[in-house]
Amino acid sequence: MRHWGAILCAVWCVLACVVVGVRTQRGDAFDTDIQTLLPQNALEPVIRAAIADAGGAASRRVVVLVSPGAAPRSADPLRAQQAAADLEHSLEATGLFTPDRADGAEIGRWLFANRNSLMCETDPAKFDAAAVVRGSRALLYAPIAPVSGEMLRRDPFLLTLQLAQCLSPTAGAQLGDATLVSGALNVSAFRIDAQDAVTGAYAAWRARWPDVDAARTGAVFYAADGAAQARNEISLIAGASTVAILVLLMVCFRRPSSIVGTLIATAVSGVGSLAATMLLFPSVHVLVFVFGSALIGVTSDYALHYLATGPQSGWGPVTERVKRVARPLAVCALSTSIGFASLGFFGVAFFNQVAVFSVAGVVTAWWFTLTLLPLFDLRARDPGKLTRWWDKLETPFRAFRWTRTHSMVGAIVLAVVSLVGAGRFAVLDDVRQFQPRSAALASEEARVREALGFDMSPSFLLSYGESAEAAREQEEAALQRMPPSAARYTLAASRFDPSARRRAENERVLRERLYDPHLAARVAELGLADPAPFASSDPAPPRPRLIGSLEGATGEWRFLVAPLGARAALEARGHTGDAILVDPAARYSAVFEHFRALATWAVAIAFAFCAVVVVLLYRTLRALKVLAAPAVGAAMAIAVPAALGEPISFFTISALFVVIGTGIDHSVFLFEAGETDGQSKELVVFLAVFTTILSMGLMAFSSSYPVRSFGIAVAAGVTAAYLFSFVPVNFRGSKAQ
Amino acid sequence: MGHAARVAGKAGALLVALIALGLASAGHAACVDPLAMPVQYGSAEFTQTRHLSGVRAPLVSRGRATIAAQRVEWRVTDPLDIVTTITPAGITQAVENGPPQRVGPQGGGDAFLSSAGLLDLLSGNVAALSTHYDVAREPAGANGAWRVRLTPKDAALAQYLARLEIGGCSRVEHVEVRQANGDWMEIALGPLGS
Repeated sequence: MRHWGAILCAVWCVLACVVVGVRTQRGDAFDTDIQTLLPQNALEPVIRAAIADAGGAASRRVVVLVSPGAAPRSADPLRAQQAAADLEHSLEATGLFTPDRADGAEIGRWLFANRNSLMCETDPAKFDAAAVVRGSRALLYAPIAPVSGEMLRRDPFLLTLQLAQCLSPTAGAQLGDATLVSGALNVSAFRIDAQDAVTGAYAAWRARWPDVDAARTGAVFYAADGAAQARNEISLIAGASTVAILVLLMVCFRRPSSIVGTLIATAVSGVGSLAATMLLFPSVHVLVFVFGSALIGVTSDYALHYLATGPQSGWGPVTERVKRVARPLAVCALSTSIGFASLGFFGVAFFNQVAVFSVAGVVTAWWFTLTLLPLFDLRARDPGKLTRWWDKLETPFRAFRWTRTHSMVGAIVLAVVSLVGAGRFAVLDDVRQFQPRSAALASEEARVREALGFDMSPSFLLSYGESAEAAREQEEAALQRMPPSAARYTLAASRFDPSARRRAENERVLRERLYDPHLAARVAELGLADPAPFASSDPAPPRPRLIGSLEGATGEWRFLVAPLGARAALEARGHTGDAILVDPAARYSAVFEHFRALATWAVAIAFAFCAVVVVLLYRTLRALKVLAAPAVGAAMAIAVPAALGEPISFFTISALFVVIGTGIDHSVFLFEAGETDGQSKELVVFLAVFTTILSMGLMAFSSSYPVRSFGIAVAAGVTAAYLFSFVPVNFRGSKAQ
Repeated sequence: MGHAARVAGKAGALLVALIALGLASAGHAACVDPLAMPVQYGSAEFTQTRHLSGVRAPLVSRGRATIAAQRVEWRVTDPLDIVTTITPAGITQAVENGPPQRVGPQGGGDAFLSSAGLLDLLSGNVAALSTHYDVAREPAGANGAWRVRLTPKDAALAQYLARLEIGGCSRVEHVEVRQANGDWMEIALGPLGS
């Protein structure tokens, strides 16, 4: 039976390697989008779709401001322009970038074709014909207006130029002698292949033009920076925990085969985790690896427990050694899996991945330990010597006795930490504070914003309806209610492509108030031959890409997304009618707050599941004592971060699942030793705990708040759970079966 | 629209720059080499006449251009008040005493509106012209008056701007802007004042 288990495990390991190998060849295998952390069932469908559309469109923007350098040679603006042209060409060459240049001409043709059905005013009743006439005269006599005779014949009041000026976002500041390279990515900015291509092209361009100044902004740069940081942290955490495990294993086991066995078990667990996640999800979030790296400390425990039976039994028969650990490992794997699987109840896509990743890793490690690992751990040449060494190392642990002094010190520490934690307790749900932003990139973004003079906010106006026409009418009504200054800083599709009703109204007003009273005078003033102000464009130009990008659909609903400037976002509040002012960050934060509360209940449910599992397995209420240490650990996982001034969040609460899982593991082995086989487990439990604490503790040094708070909570909780497992807690009941 | 605005911006700035070239004169006594005139700041009256195809009445505007270091102010006073200000930072325009508003998204993207084009020219660095335009001297007229033809090197600009012609003796007195679509504009400059 065990042989079949070994064969099937080997097949799964090979299959997992193949899955990982094949899937990592694809560019979308990994995802770095923070929005993936969002629950999939928390927001209304239209708002969620709109946030996804708006977020996707905004995140695909790439803007680079290229300025002459300070050195005399590079101070020539022409050099900056050449550098900018080279950059645009380089980005286009990636095949992922489309520059904005085409949009200007496209929108110009659209405005000209629709000049008589569009209006600068959001309310046709407020149309100011005198201002339009005055504006057209200024354009006629100014030295820099692009006026032609043909344009005047068809647009005698130069409505096209005036619409272009009033409908485009205001640029209050000046670009000066800098050149703006701007455009959009054709794919998600959070794809690692897109990040590599764009940042690679940018870095190569910087190397070619080191003497010009450049300031960039765009989610692709931030995401690439965050991904690089995450990769570095993963390397540090995984590297440090691996080294710690190697050293400990060499000191305790004194044989390389134990190290090889543990490393293989850990690697197999990792590959199994990743393969299962890749099989179930189209793209694996990069943060899953940060959370998943904690599994190294958990899954290596299983190998340690089996390998420890070598010196403990003098390398007895494999069957006997497996039998010693089979039940406690089953209890550990089951309870830990239940703990991680509980993450799936949150309805958060990201935590679904963590749950699958973790459960698959735990199950693979358990399976490997009981079937294939024994094949690596052959009988030692001098088992007696190694057994004596093991006993020697374990002696201090066995000699340790929990005293009243320990109880008093422990109680004082717990009380102080709890009190300080309660005093400094704070929560954090604001997603804007989760991810640290690169100071260098933020500085460059500030320069770009200053140069553009237009500060977009992440908020947008959402208008929706059962048809595109209804959505347009809702947006028009909202814009009409908003203060003019707020409407001015809103990039709304209906301003460029109004509803049929508004088009007709605009045209009627233009005819009655502009053309009828002023056209004859204008024709006479200019001596216009054959004026044709209502001549249509032939062929009609296609709707510009920019306007199309502001419109979306989900299910039966059509919606319009109108990005707001920072000023408009403030001024529009309370003036949007049926349209909704959406602040994605605020909504995300509300969702995280909601799920923090939900996760707290989930912890209680996980505890209840674990209690049922251990009582059913051991058939005695005495088994509930294995929950005492994890319970204290969970309490300290909250109290310690709070005492350290680290706010509590959804991520802190989710760390409790790891505390429960690993805490139960340790308690189960100690409980098994005392209640069933009587075999001492102190040293191996210490090894298991120590490797876990090391790997988790390093996560506390992450610059990313979610990872850091998770690491601190796990390290504090697991440490507390381990220490508390020595406390003699007694539950009434019969001896374990 | 974007190209049209850019071209118009180039043309306008070029005109102002050429006028500045004219202002940078040593005097009226003899015709000088137009490509070697020393820089001189000041102001001059101008008359701008725009000839558009299909528009029988030429668009005539009058005003005063003021050239200073790092700044050109082109003020139309008739038939209405328009102040166009060009600096290395960009172009702004104020109509009928209204607030200055930035004109066009470009500025840095245009070589001539940048300091290398306009301000180098104002300081007498005529080599900057040959960076962006092919400069050709036309046969000298009566009394040694000279004419220079500037043809844009940039193909995108050449789509809209056919050529520029400047003429004068001791300074630029006359400018013509010939657009690719047949429209053209001429500017006559008065004597330099302070």
